[in-house]
Amino acid sequence: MSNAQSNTATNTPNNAIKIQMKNIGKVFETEELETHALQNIDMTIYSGDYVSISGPSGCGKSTLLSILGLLDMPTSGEYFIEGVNVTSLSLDEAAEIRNSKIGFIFQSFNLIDELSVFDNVALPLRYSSEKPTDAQINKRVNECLEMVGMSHRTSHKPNQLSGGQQQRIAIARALVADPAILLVDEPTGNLDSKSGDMVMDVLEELNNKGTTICMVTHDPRYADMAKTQLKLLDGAILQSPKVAKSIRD
Amino acid sequence: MKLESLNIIYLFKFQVKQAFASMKNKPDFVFSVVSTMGLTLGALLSVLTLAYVMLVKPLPYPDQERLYKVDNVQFDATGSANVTAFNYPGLVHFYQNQQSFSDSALILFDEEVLTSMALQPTLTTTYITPQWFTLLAVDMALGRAFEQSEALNTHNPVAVISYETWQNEFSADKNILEQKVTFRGVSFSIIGVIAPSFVEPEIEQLGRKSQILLPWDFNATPQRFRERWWDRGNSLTFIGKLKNELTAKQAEQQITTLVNDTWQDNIDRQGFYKGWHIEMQLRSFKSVILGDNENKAYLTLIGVIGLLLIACINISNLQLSRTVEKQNLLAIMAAVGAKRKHIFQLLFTESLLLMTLAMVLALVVAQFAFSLMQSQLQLVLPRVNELNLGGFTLICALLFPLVLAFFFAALSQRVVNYQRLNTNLQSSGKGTGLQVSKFVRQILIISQVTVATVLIFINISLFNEAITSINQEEGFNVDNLISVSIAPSTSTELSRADQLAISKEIQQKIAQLPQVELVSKNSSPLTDSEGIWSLTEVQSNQIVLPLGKSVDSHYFNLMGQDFIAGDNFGENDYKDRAPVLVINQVLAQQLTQQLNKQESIKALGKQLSFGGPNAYTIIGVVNDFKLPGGNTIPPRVYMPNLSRSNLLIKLKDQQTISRAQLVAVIKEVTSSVSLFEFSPLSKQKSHRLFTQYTTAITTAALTLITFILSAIGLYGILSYSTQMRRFEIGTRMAIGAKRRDLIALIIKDNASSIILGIVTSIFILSVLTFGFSEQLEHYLTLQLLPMFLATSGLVSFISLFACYLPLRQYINRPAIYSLRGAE
Repeated sequence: MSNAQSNTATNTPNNAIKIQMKNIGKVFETEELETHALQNIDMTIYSGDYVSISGPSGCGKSTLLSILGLLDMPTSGEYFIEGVNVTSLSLDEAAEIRNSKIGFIFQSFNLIDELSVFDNVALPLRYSSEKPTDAQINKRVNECLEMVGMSHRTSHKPNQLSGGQQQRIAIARALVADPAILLVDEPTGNLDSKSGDMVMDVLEELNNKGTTICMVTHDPRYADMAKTQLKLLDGAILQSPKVAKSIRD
Repeated sequence: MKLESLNIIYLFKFQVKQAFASMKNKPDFVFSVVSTMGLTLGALLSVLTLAYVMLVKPLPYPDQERLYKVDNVQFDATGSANVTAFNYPGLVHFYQNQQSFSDSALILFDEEVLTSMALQPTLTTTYITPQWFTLLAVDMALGRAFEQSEALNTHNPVAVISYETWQNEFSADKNILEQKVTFRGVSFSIIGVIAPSFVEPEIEQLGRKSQILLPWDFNATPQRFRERWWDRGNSLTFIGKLKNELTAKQAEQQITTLVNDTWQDNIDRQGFYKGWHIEMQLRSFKSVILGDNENKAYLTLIGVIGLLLIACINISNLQLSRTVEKQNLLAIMAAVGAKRKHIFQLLFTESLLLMTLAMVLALVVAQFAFSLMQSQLQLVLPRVNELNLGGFTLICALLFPLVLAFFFAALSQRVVNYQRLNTNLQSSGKGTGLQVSKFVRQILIISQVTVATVLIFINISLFNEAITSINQEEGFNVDNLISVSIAPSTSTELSRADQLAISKEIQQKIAQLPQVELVSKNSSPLTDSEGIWSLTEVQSNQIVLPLGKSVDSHYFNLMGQDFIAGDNFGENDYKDRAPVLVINQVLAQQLTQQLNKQESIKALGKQLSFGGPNAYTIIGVVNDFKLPGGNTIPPRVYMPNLSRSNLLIKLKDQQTISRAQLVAVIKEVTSSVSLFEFSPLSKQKSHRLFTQYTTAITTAALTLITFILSAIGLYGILSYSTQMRRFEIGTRMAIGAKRRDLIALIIKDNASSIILGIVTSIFILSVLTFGFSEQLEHYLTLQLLPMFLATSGLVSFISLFACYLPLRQYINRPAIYSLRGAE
C-alpha cells in the first residue's frame, strides 16, 4: 500500500528549497586513522518532499542525518536551510536553528522519562526564543498530540506507554515547533511491525498535509514509501533512475 | 591444579595490563583518586602509628612493665593531698633503704649554663645514680656509663653526654673523651657518649632530652636543703624496677610505711605538719609518659577516621562515575563470556593499582608527618621520637590498599546489573546496565554539602580565632625587647646584697652598649609563671585575687602601659621598700565596683593587705594588655621590687644584640654569675602562641583538604549524575536546548539537594551551639554569621562549579557526541 502511494506521488518540488547541500564531506580523524564518512554530497530537498536515505551499515546514513540536523558539523562543503548558510554556526546558533527549523524523530524515541507526555511534547517550545505563553503552548501541544492520536495520554509518563505510542509522542514533539523539516532516523527500528506500520502511516499522513520529511531507514518497504529515494554507499550518493528528479547538482 | 594456577596468574597479569591501559587514558581520574586517598591514608597512617606508639607499643626498656616512678604524696591534717614531691633527705633515705625494687635510681632534672664554652649555652642537665643506665639498658656510642665509682657519695666529677650534644655542641669531636665540661664552677671529665638509638623516657616533661648526665652528688641542691625534711623539690625523682614477687599495691604499702615513719621521726610533729602524713604511689613508666594524652590519641584517631570516611565517599562517587564510563567495556566482556567474578576481578585489579599508588604517596606523607611531629610536637605528644615507618606502619600500608580495593570493587560491582549488562550492547543504550537511584545520588550530594559546610565553617572559625590571637596588638614592640636572666656559676652561694650589686653593675654595662636604649630590672611578662596574690582591702575586707608581679619604675613605660590615675613608683619606693602598689584597671574596677574608666581614680589610696599587719597603699592605676594567646585581661597588682636575676633590655630601632655580646659583658663584671637565659620577646611570643600557630596551620590545612575533598566528592557524584543523563542532554540539545538552558537545568535539578545540605549543616551547627553552649560559646557566636554565609557561599560555589564541570564535555561539543551512544 505504501509503495503504491510512493510510486504514484509526484517527485516534483511544489515549493521553495528547504535543504541544500553542496559538496558536503565529513572526515573522522583519530591519531592513526582518517575515515571519510561522507564525500561530495550534493543534494536538495524541496518543501513537501518525502526523502528516504538508505544503504548498508556504515555507509554514512546516520552521519548524513546528523549533519542535516545540525547535530554535527561537516568537515567540508556548504549547507543551507531555507536559503540560510548554516555550515559553520556556533553551538548556540545551531541549537536555535534546530529548535525552530528541525524536528527530530529518533529510533529509540529519546523521550525524557521524568517528564509527562505533555511536557515532553512541550519541551521544544520551552527552549524557543519566541517565548510562547502557557496558553499558546497548551494549544499547540494539544494540536500535535491530536495529530498523532495521543491526546488522551497527556499526563502519562513515557514508560507507561507502548513503543509505538512513545514514537508517536516523539513525532508530536518533533512537530510542535512547526519545523521546516522532519528528520527521522530508523523510526521503526525499535518497534514491532504493526507499530512500525502505524508510525509510518502517521508520517505519510503528515507528508500528505505538507510536512517535509527526510528519513533514514534500512527497510526497503519503508524506503519505498518516500517520494524520493537516496541510496548511500561508502559515504557517497548513488544515483538511480527512480531518484534522479530530486537530486540536483 | 598447576594449570589452573597458571591460568589465574595469566588472567591476573592480563587484568593488571588492562587496568594500566585503562588508567593511562584517565589521568584526571587517577590523579583525583591517588591524591585524595594518598593524603588521607598518609594522615591515617601517621595517626594510627602515633596511637600505636602511644597506647600499645611496649617501651624500649627491659622488663618495661615493671618499671615505675614513685610519687611521694603529702596529705595535710584534713586528709587532702597537699603536694606530690619528695624532700631531699627523705628521698635519699628511701633510695638507700627500700626493699621493694630490685634496682632503683635517683634523678634530678635541671637546666644549667655550660660555662666552659665561650658562648655559655644553657643545657639540660640530669643528675643520676649509676643504676639509671642499667634500668634503661643504655647503649654507649663512646666510652662508658656511670658505674659504682659514680655511686651515691663517691663525688667523682665525670659526665656522660647525649649523642645530639656530642654532635651539636662538640661538633662530633673524636677526642671528646679527653674533654671537660664546667657547670657552677665544677669541672667534669667526659667519660662517655650515649648511643643515638637510645630513647630517653619522658618522665619529667614531654620532649625533654637530657643533654648532660652528671653524678647525683653534684646536683645544685644547696647543702642546707639536703638536710631539711620539710622542704620539697619538684624535680627530685625516684625510679625502680619492681621485684617480681611484688604487686604495685603491695610495694606501695611497704614503702609508705618506710617513708612515712622516717619522715614523722624527722619533722616537728606538733608544729606546722601536725596531723600530716605521706603516702607513696607507684606509677608505671607507660602511664607517666602517656599522661593525659590518651584522649588526644583517640580524638585524633576519630578525626582522621572521619576524614577517611569523607575520602571513601568521594572515591566511591568517582568509582561509580568511572564504572558508568566503562559500561561498554563491561558489556563486551559479558558478551564474550566474562562471569561476574571476572568483572569483579577487573574492578578489583584497577582499584588495587590505584590504592597501591595512593599508599606510596601515603608513605611519603606519613614520613613527612613523622618528621613534622618530631620537630614541632615533641612538647605536646609523648614518644613522637619513636615514630618511624616500622613494622606496624608497613603492615597497615599493606593491608589498607587490599581492604579498600576490595570495598571499592564490591561497591562498583553492586551497581553493575549483570543480567542487563548482557543486553546493553544490543539495546539503544537507553537502558543502561549501571544505575544508582536518584534518591541515593541526592543523599550523597546532601551529605557532601553538609559535611563540607560544617567542617569548613568550624575550621575557618578556629583559624580566624587563632589568627586574631596571633595578630593581637600587645601595645608594645616585642621585636625590640630581650629578656635576660643570670644564674650563679659557682657552687658558692651569693648574698642578697651581692646579687643586687652584681645585677646593678651588669645592668649598667649593658646600658652602655650602643645598640641598647634601656635596661630594666624586670622579668618578661611573657614567661612569668604568675602567682595569684590573696589580698584583702583593708576598709571593706573585700578579698581580691590578682596576679602579682615585682617591677621597677621602667616597666610600665616598656610595656606601653599608660597611667589612668595616680603615679609610677619613685626611686625612694625602691630604696625604702615602701608599702605601695600599682594596680591595673581591671582590679580598680573590682575594688571600686565601677565600670567607668574615669572612676578608676577612686581606687587610689585604698589599702590592700596580705593578711599581716602591713597594708599597701595603691598609688597608681594603669591600663593593661592581653598577653599573646590570652582571651581576657586578668586583675593585676604591681609591687616595687628590683629583680636580682632578670633584666629586660630595650634595643634601639633596627638594632640587635647577641648572646656572645652579653656573655662578654657579664664576664667583664664577674665570674660568679653566668648568662642563663637570653630570649627575645618575639621568640617568647611565638612560644606562647604555639597553640594558636598550630591551630592556624592545622585548620588551614584541614580547610584546604576538606575543600579539595568536597570538591572532588561533589564533582564525582555530579559527574556521575550528569553521565546518567547524557542521552537526555543530547536529546534536549537535539530539540534546541542551548548551553545556558542545560546549565540552568542541571543547577536547578541539584539546587534543592545543595540547599538541603546547607540547611542540614545549619541544623547541625545549631545543635552544637545550643547543646554544647558552655564549651563552645567562645567559638560559635552570632558574630560568625557572616563567616557562615561566606562558607555557604563557598560550598555553593564548589557545588555549582561541580555541576558545570561534568556538563562541559557535552554542551561544548556538537550534540551528536552526547547522542552517539544512544543511536
